[in-house]
Parts: sequence; C-alpha cells; structure tokens
Amino acid sequence: MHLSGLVCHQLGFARPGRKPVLDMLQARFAPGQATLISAPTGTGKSTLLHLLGGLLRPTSGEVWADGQPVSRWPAPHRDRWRRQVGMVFQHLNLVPDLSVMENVLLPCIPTASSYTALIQRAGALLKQLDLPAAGRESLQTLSGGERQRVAIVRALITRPRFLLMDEPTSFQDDDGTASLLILLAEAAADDACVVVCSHDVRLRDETRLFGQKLRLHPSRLEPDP
Amino acid sequence: MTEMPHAMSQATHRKFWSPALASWAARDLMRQPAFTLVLFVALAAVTALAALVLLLQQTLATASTRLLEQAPHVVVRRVGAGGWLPLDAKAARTRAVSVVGVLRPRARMWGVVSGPQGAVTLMAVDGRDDINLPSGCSLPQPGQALAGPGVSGDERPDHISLNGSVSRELTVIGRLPRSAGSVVHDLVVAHAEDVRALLGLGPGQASDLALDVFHPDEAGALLPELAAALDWPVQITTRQEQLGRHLAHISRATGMACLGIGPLLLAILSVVVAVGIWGRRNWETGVLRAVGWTGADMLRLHLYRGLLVGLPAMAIGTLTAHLLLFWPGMTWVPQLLFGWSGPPPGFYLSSTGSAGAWLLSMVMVGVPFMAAVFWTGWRAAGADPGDILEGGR
Repeated sequence: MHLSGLVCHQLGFARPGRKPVLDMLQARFAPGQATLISAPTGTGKSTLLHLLGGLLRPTSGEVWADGQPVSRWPAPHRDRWRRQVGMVFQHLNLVPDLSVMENVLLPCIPTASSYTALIQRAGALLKQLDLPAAGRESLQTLSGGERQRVAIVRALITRPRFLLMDEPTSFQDDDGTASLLILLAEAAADDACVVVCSHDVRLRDETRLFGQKLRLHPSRLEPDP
Repeated sequence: MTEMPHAMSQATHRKFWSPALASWAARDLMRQPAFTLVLFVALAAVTALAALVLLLQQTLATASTRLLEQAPHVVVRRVGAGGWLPLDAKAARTRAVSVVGVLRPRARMWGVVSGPQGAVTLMAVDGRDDINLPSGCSLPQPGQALAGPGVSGDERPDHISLNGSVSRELTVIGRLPRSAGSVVHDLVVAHAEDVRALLGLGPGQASDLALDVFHPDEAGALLPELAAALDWPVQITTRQEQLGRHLAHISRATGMACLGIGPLLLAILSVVVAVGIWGRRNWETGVLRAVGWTGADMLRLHLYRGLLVGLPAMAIGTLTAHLLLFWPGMTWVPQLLFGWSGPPPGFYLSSTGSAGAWLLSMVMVGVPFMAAVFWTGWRAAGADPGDILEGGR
C-alpha cells in the first residue's frame, strides 16, 4: 500500500470481552490536508486517534503511514515512528508540576542537541496562542483553555508529520479557536497530515481549512456534508 | 510557521550520552527532593558500611603481614604441663646454634602483665639489644619505661603501675610513636631487670628464643632437628604459621562482621525497593511515551537518574569510610570495634589493597542499585503507552 499520509485498512479495535469500538474502518488522511472527524460522544473518536498515533495496536486491520504498516511493527519501531506524531489528547495529559515551557519541550528532550532554537520556537507558538512566551508559569495557575493551548503547542513543537487532535477546541473561545485554525492551516501547508476529532460546531462550520470532513460510525467513516 | 532545526532529523543516530536528557534527569530528580535526598543518604550510608568492613579487613591484614615480616623466622618456647616455662637463655642459644642453618638466636624477655587500664605487653631491652628506638628516646634504665600510645597512668600519665609476679611503678621517659603501627599500641618497653621481676624470671632465664634460619621458606624442615637439640619439651612456631594464624583470625573476625552485614543487605534491599517505587510513575511514563519518547529514552532517563544519585552517594560513602578509619583523631570506630579505652592505634593505608576495598564496596552497592534502576527503566521502556494512559490515571 504505497499511499502517503495515514491509511486505515479494515481497521478494527475491541477490548477483551466487549463488542468492537471500531470495525472494518477504511479511510485515508492525505498529507497537506486537514481532516475533521465528527461523531457523538462515545463512538470511538479517541480510540481512532490513538490507533492512528500508534498508541494502541488494532485488534484487526492495519494502519499504514507513508506506505509503511506501522501498526504491525514491534514496539521499538513504533516508538521511533511516533516521534513523527504530534498529539493533543482530550484529557490534555500535561504534567501538572512542570512549568508551561517544560511541558511544551517534553517531546524534544531525548533528541535535542540544544534548547535555544526549541525555546525560541516554543515562545513563538505560545505567543501565537495568546500565552506568555517565556512559559515560566506553573501549569496549576492556568485556566482550562490556557492549558489546552499549552497541549496544542506541545503537539506542534516538533513540526510533526502527523498531527492528531482530540477535541482541541473544547475549552476555547472564538478567538482561541481562530488562532488554532491558523496554526493548523500552517501545519497543513507544511505538508503535515492533520486529523482533528471534534463535535465542535465552529469547526464543522469551517469551510476553508478542512479538505475532508468525515462522520464516524463504528464500522465506517462517511463524508459529513 | 517559525523555522527550527527538525527534531526528527537529529534523532536518527544517538549516543548513550545526551546532555539535554542528562539535564532533564537532574531536573526530574529535583521534582522529588525529599525522596532523592533519602535515597542519596541511604546509598551513601550503605556504601560507607560496606567500605568500612572491607577497608578494616584490608588494613588489619596489611598490618599483620608487615608486622610478621619484622618477626623472627622461628620462635621456640619451653612448655610444660601447665603452659609455657622460662628457659635457660645461654643453654638455649648454645644448643640452637649447633643446628645447621640456624642464625642469630636471641633469648627474649617479654610477656603480658596487668597495666593501668588493662593488659599490656611488656618487653625488655638492655644495652646489648639491637633495637631501633624512636628519635629522642633513650634506653630505659631500671625504674623507667617507654610506653605505647594506648598506655598511660591513671593519675599521672608519666607514671605507670604494672602488676605481674611483683608490682612495679615505672616512669615513662618516652612514647613509642603511633606511626610505628598498631603493635606498639599497648606495649611497654622496660629495663631487663624490671621485666625479669615482673614476669617472674630468674637470673639467666628468658621467655623464649627467637632465631632466624638460612632458608626462611624451609624453616619447617629444621624443626625436628631443633626440637631434638634442646633438652626440654618445646613449642616451635614458624613465621609462616604465625602469619597464617593471624590471617585466619582476621578472616574469622571479618566473617563475624559479615554476619553483621545482614542489616546492611536489608538496607540494600530497601534501597532497591525504594528505587522501584521511585521509578513507578506510570501515568507520566505513558505521557512521555505518547509524546515521542522511545523505550530506550525511558531507559536512559532512569539510568541517568540512577547515576546522578548513585555515583556521588557512593563516592561520599567510600570517602566517609576512609575518613572514619584513617583520619587522624577519628577514634570512635576502633574504640567501638576493639573496645580500646585509651587512644586507639592508627590504621595505615595500603594503596593497592584499599583501592580494591573501595572498588569492591562500590560494586557491592552499585551493582544491585543500578540493577534496580535498570529494571525500573526496562519496565518503563516496555510499557504500552496507550494502556498506561487509559489505565494509569
């Protein structure tokens, strides 16, 4: 399967003893394109993103990334591939006792040779999302929306090839949402493969950014008009 | 979007050492300052205990070996049913020298008598003895003595009262230097006349006969001939036998100390368990793995953290043990170990033996500690990030 971007091939996932969350899913998320996946709560959006990001292994089918069957790879290989993924989690998964800047730089620590360029980039991204560029604040002093923006900057800091976001605007006002859409457009323009799962109507109404809008059902992804 | 060096392109070939990851490991330790401090102190203490036992064994073995190197090749004692007996010095010398291969037979007067704070070793010298006295000391005359650093008078430090066959009060005219080794610690050197009286020796009698032989390694071969040459039943001890006996005694003592190491091993175990708990931050492991840390990165983080705490802690532990034994004026350890009431003898360092003891103590503590660190890191490396994030919160 020599398609660039992310491809779901007959993808399925079921927890032991339960009925499948996803089943026989077929989809392609092309590079340079932003995709919006919407669905009611509990239909498996987060699970799909975790499968696409290599955090979970499918129980059937495969995930292909740039022509490689990454879901079949052993854990060490998937680990290395995951460095190309930037992910915003629904529950943010920020480390509460670290500062904003430390949270943002977390993905870069194992591979960084110098922090200077990274701190500059982090500062610019934080500023773009209306957060103090120095990032010295403790996470505990931030509001829910600000924390979510920190999580977004953390996902973008490595300029990921695959950008996966789970409800990234759930705590954002209209200005915050607009800033995020600009960043997503820049990432797509940088040839990243952008997948956003959300049931936020502001995103569903956005016509310019999302080249593909899908609606998730347990066994299919169908175009969302 | 702001340009930056692409993180992924830097990550392809990496060495074990990463300054960024090491500085993060240090920062990570500072997030749990109390736990890090406890771990540091526990490791340093365990290392110090292990090093103390090993260094003590090493220094005692070295002291014994050095001491016996100065000792005569063979010592002959007259024995009877009740124990040792005085021997006729002149007759013993004459008969011993008749044995081919025997050199320099010396009749010695020495023994153990009761001193001010306990038993002391009493040794006689007179003008005929070939003895190297410390600078500034002269040969004691009758009523005078040279005393080791562990011997002093109860009321007046320069007067010691000794009790043997008779009681004598001797004036201390000089001190045997601490640097002469632990052998002089409880030694009193007095004039032959006083020693003879205190030990109950008659005129012309000696405690034993010391002699050298032409081939020290073959001293054992001369023993039957030597025993036959003397008129009385004798006990003959070679230097090799004495050395073996000393080393066996030290090994026994160290073995007992090793039994005392039981608590030490428990402490090591506690440290190991503590390390396990220390590294068990599952949810955070899941987050790090989810944002792009590989299993190898997690393992390196744990190893860095272990090394950052372990290396300085073990260095300080071995240094502490060294200071406790060898620092001048640090006296409570030997006092505790040997029950000396006076100032204890100094211990002296043998560089090769001490290096081995340090190394061994660091290995004894460092290997289980780093194994625990590795095991914790290995678990973090092998964990599935999706499962951790979903189950660990």
